[in-house]
Amino acid sequence: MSTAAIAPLPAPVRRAARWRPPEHVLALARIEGRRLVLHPVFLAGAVLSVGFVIFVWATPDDRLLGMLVSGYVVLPLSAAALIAANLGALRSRRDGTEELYASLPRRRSSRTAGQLVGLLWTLPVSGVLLAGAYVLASGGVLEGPRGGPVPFDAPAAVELAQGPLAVIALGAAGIALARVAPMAIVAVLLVIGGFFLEFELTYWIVGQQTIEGRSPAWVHWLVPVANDAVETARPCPPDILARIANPPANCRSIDLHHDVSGLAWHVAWLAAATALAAGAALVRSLVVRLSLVALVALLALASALAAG
Amino acid sequence: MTVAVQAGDLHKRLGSTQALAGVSLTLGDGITGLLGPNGAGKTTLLRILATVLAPDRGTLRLLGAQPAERSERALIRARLGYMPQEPGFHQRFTAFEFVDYVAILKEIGDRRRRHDEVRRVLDLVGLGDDAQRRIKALSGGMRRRVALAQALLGDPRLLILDEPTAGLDPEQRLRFRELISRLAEDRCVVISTHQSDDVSALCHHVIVLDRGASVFAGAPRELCDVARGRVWLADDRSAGARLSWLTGDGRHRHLGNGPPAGAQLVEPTLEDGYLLLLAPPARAAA
Repeated sequence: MSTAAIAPLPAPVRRAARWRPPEHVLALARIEGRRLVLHPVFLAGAVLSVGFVIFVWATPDDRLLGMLVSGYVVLPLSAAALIAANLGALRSRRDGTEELYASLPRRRSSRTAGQLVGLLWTLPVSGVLLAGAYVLASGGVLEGPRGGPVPFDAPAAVELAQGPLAVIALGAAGIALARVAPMAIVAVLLVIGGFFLEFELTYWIVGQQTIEGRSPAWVHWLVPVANDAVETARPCPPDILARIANPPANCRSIDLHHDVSGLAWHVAWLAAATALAAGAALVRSLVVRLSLVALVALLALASALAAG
Repeated sequence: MTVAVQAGDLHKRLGSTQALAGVSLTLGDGITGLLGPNGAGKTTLLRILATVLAPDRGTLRLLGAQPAERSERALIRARLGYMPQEPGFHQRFTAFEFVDYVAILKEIGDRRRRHDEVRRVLDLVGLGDDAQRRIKALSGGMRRRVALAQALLGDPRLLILDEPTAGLDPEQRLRFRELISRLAEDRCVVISTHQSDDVSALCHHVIVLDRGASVFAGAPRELCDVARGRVWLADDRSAGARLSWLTGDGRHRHLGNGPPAGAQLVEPTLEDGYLLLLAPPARAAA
């Protein structure tokens, strides 16, 4: 029997010098992004965030309004993004498809890149949530139960960026976590731990009376969304009084500002942490991956110390 | 014959087990069946051919390229279809979404071309009407066909199927045979199976593995010939048989080296040859 070797495979095609997002990453991102925002955990987070917005708006404590304008209300959504993205990144391991995927031309890093880019699909959700929160806070359309609308300056870009970036940052952290500790329970414990740190542990350590219901500054640096609102109470301006049918005699409005410079630093730290988490998710070397995670922790610690 | 797989002296150790101990083979177009008991090394060999595992030692060329070279490995994978023994599925995906996901990782063209290709392979395995059903709602046999569909993406030159007919009903198995025999006309197909009748019906070449080594390689007819003159029927159990069992018609079918005088010799099957090849010499009749 005569034999003939199969024709050798063609040489690898050299990539074009001009970079553009690979087609397969965008295709994966479309699938991963859609699955993320339709994930039951993410949807539950969105419902909780809506509930948070309504709760803050309906609570007769004007100081809480700072939460509406700082993007703080997307925290439940951010936590849900962490868990849902983590579950998405663990999907192939959980469903036993790793062996099949190992036989395909595109490596695991391509799937991870698709999952990371897919986080951008959360932007419309967090954007709608924040827009709703601003509408409620401004009273431009709805009047709050405080006897009048609450005026505040047009939000700064960093205020607008903080909430959506927090969702993406925690999503990236969830994906990186899946590479470092491939067990879904770790992400859940991290969320519970973060909640405990922010709302309970600080009260327990420092004492609620001394901090007047707020966590110390170093904790604020560790949470994804900083909320350092500066509030000034003042008599209702005439234009607002004119829009209210029966203004109370003691009508006062709260003017809310944020320390924009401080928020900018926080947003910068959030962006850096997101980039490092994405890098940790993408790299193949375990040593490099762990180093990047350690760098995020170090960055957080340094920021917290700097904040006092 | 066009050589698609050329392997020499492949060795692979998995933990404390020597899974492969010097397997050599040359495969061309047509269907090759891998037979062997559990733990013989069939799946390990297929994983190496699918570039999922790298051999510890030995030479390997697939489709004219070397999988040990990273750049060549990616090109091999683009022209290779693999159906693992336990493929695993994303249960919440539809059949279409799952195969499409694999198609993206296989770098199959732009969106429109990719979707056309996904529809083509789902039609090939008879799942065109079930493409939008979630995988968790599909039967075990339908899931095997989804796994087969993803292996057919991109019209691969080398198709590696690990126990593809497990869990298929008789009609589905016949359809599978029809499809695979058609595909094998111009490509290399390697099938691992415990179903010797699949091998008889489909394969042009058979390799029997035992404890990590190849103990037989040849045509199915040659494996039948291993048992020629060593299979007989009798009313009673023969003491000299290495294996024997009571058949449905009430007679005993015997396999062994020394049929008694006057025994009714019968035409051996591929399964007879396989059993005699692997039966321990001293085993008493069951």
